[in-house]
Amino acid sequence: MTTRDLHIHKYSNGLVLVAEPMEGVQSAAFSLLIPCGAVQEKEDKLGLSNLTFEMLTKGTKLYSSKELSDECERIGLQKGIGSGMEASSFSAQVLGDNLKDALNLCFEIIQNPTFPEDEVDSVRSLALQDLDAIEDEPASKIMDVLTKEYYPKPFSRSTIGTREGLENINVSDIIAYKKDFFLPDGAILSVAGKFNWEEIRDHVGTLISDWHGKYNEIKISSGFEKRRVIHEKKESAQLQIALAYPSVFVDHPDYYNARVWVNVLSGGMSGRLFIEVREKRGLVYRVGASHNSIRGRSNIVSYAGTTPENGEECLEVMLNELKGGIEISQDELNRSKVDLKTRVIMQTESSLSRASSIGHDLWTLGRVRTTEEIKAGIQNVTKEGIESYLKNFGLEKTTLVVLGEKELSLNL
Amino acid sequence: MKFHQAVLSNGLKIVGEVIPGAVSTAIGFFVKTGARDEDINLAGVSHFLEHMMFKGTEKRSALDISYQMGAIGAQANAFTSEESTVYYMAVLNEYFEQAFELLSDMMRSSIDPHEFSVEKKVILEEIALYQDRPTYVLLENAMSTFFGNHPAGNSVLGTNDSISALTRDQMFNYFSNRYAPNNIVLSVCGGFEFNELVALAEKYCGSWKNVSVTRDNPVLIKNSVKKILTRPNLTRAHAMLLAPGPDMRHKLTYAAEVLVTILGDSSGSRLYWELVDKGLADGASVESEQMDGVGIFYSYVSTNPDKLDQVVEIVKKIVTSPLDFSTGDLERAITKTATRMVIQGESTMRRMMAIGFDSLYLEEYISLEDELKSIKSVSLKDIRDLIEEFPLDPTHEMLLIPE
Repeated sequence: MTTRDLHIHKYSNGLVLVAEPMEGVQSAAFSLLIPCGAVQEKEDKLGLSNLTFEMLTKGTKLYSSKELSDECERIGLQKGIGSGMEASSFSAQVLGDNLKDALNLCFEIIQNPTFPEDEVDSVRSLALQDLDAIEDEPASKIMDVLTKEYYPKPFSRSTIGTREGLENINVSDIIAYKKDFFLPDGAILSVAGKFNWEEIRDHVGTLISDWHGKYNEIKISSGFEKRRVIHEKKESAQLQIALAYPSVFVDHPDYYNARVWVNVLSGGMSGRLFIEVREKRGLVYRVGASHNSIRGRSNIVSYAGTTPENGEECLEVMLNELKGGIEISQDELNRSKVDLKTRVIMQTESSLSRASSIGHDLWTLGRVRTTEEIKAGIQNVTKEGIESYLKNFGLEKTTLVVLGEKELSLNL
Repeated sequence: MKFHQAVLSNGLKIVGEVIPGAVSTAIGFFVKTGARDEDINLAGVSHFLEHMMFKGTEKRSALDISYQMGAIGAQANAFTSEESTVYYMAVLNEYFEQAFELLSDMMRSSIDPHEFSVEKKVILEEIALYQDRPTYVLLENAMSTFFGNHPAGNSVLGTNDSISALTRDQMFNYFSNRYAPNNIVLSVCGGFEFNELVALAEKYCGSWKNVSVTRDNPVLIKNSVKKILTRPNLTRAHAMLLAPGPDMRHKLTYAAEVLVTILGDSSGSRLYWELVDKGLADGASVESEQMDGVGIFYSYVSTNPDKLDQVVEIVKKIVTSPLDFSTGDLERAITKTATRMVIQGESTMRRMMAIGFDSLYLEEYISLEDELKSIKSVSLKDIRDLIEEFPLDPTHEMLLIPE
């Protein structure tokens, strides 16, 4: 599956189309990114973005809810609607021959939802059930608590909402949220797979002629809190341990140092965390670290699940590895780079992941990185580069969250 | 795309789909062994053994394996079910030969005693992890209740007791009896040369000794059970309804796939409209689990505890009137299933898995085109015939509710 050229077009209403035709695939995928999410919600309406997105498929000017669903199935459209923290998206994958029909449905749903009032209660009920379900799954719950405790407001919100917020939302809130935020200027449509560029560019143009408006970005300043430890008591077989601390965003010169470092820690089965915590000591089944980015900020998040009697030792070994006291060997560095590059290349084989990553790049960076650029960024990382990154970005601002029967302390 | 197959003189079957232009290649070893092949005192040995295959061979230590996988960027893993154990690796084409040599060496684990004792702790952690997942607890109970004494209901993980008591020598015996080349399929898909693959297999797997391997497949004794499990501090309630279904060699498996899509797909199905769309359940599904010689239809729902009775009644109503759909519903379900097949077929990993399992159990190759033809030709009559043989009336009802 090789990719061809990348095309970008800005329509007169401000919507940006970014597209990458692929060879050797039958499928085509797209993602319409709208820059709104939980951070824009009012304090007493938490969950509004979630409910608005869930209500989109409950009927449009042209179709009832059932007709919409039948229409999606008729063309084999698999859709995903995700309401996020700062950006939300409508994404879909179909066979390339059905891409135009799929885009017709997408823009009908985004521009003309009818938001029937009698559907709000069922959508709200599902959101409340989602909140409850997290309570029953310790591995989900720990990440929910970490988000709440680590990120500054309003980034600490749950993208599902809160019980009080969800119960306080009515249909007029949903209509107003759509009116304020579902606007073309600021939104990004990304397409990848089997299609003809000119044909799709012109087709999308005909679908958005009546869509106008500019999204006024709310500037949210944020600073990370000081180091802290949160323990939440829960009866469970395993103790859940999660921690987070700041790293560097993709536009920072140290970005690829950070990415390769996190891969040294947690790349596949040769990562230091896996080797030290699981392979040598048998303390966990799952352990790992990841480099997560939201717009403008990145963090390293690390997780482990262990039985309570192993808790102290597990955390101690994790922290030792995260601090990076042990010198990185040339073999280790090479391994980490090959592993990371392989992942990058393999992702280019799927139209859905390609559509999502070119749209995401354009939104967060204002441009799309080529695979070659990413590979070069990884290749140029040196041991010295990682060491200097580690000197500047340590664990001082770590938030540690422990869920289970036992308390742990954070000794850095 | 071109299909090839070969058999080594020791019985190792090799299947491959060569995809011109693919940048990566996925390799898998499929062993026809799993929890159902374990004696009761060995419960969990198949899965524990799967872990041990990463922990060293005559040539390599556990760390050598980890580091060498890293050095070629291998995206590797393994899984164990009631009846199969699968090891796989995907690499960029340039690393194909190294990946093959490594994975085939791993398939002859030395089951090192020290690594065995460390890994035992990891398995106990994994058991604890799953104990914290209510849906897993329900599924495992449902399977073991449904199958009764039939081995297909054996627990994959085993128990704290069975794992704690297991010895290295018991595991080695199990390995010697089950991991024979005549009980294994090698499946490869992506950008590689088939002749090169056969030569590599001959070189690295040609010396594996074949042993006679059998599997018990007793008749499933029909019974009917309703069971309520409880759990402290649970906020949700879950139900699983089970009924016998077609096994993987049944001629109507495609009809079963289409039927469960109509009844219980995550969107647009009858359960979706009756339960999820109305906000009564946050999850509702019907699945056809087609196994070796046995099969199950199972429906699953999760809901608020005070709505459980109502929700279970609705599920029963839907699965006991399985023909209550229009030809439009049938056509849409077929399109949906077929589109998924094509899209999944674009992943070398998925194709490698599909042809590996087909070869292991059906002993035939089914191209993606043939699969699509079979799905597209599913008729109302096929579904009627299927229901005639397997009415979906639940024989087993398992509930998980707050204590």
